[in-house]
Amino acid sequence: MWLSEMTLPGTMDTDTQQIARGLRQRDVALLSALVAQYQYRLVRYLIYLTGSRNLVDDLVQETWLRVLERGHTYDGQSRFEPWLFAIARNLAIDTMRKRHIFSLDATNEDDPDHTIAAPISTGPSPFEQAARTEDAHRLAQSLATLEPIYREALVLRFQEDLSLQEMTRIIGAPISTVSTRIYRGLAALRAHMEGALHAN
Amino acid sequence: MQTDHTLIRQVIDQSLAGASLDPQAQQALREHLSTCAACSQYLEASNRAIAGLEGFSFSIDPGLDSKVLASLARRAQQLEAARIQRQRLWWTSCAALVLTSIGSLAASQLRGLAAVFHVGPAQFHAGLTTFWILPSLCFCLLFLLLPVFPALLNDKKGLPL
Repeated sequence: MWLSEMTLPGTMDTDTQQIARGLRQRDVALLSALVAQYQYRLVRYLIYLTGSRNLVDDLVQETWLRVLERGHTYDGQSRFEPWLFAIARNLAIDTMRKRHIFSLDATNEDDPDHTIAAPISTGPSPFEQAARTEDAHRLAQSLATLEPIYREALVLRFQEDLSLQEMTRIIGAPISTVSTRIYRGLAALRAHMEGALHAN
Repeated sequence: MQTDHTLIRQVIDQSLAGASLDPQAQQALREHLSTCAACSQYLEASNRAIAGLEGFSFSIDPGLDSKVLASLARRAQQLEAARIQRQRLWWTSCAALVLTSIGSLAASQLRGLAAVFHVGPAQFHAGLTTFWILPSLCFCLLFLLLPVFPALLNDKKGLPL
């Protein structure tokens, strides 16, 4: 909506080109509009990625600062979301490495016994807190224990509706790896959902 | 038969993951699903799990947006100030370079100075190059390097240049 208001009559600019131009000019008004438009999705992505709320606010702030500083690297040829999420992902990985929480890229997907330590937290997980429907409550426990790489694949594919190609740009892995993560993530949710339904 | 189900479920997974299926695979999938309750249930459970993800609503700290916008405004000001400083240094460097060139050219034309210092013209030019032109050029270039020093000294705090 905000972008259509900013479009000059008669111009052929696409939204992404407008964003790219605004970022090159470090247009704070445009950034404010981007924050308003993408904040929830960024928060959601980071919660799925980290499995915790503790780091999210700081990461969100750092992500937007990085968007301001490195905006000139966004070319406007592809959608803005993958570029934004790639920045957030790199920052999250750096932060988690520094704090020795866990590493997304150290995951050995071929090792079924391999597990990644989830951030230590007490009380309900952010998924349990955010669940608003019965099915969401059923899924919340599964999401909380699922490895971050699978949660990430699920949110990018099914919540952000990104294509496999866009996901590969964010994750930095080949399509086959990204697809496998989606299958495994979905399998975990399905198993939990079926288990919960049968238990009822 | 088991292989059929396994293959069909792989196709279902691929389809849900966003892979494009060729018309033949789509047709085979449709035909199999119309007769196989177990695979239909598999697809239904998958769709239900995906739909279940819509049932989450994450709350955002109400102050987060204003915090982000304030830090963006502050950082934008810092970056703008750094840009202006860089521009000033660039122009200062250019002006110093022009003055150095003019001064050096004028000095090289003053052949009488060689006699004043009791040296030959070749020695005079060598001295002029060593003690005037080269130091002046270095000094001009120093203006361009000034903004880099804080970044080199403290990589974290230095503004991106």
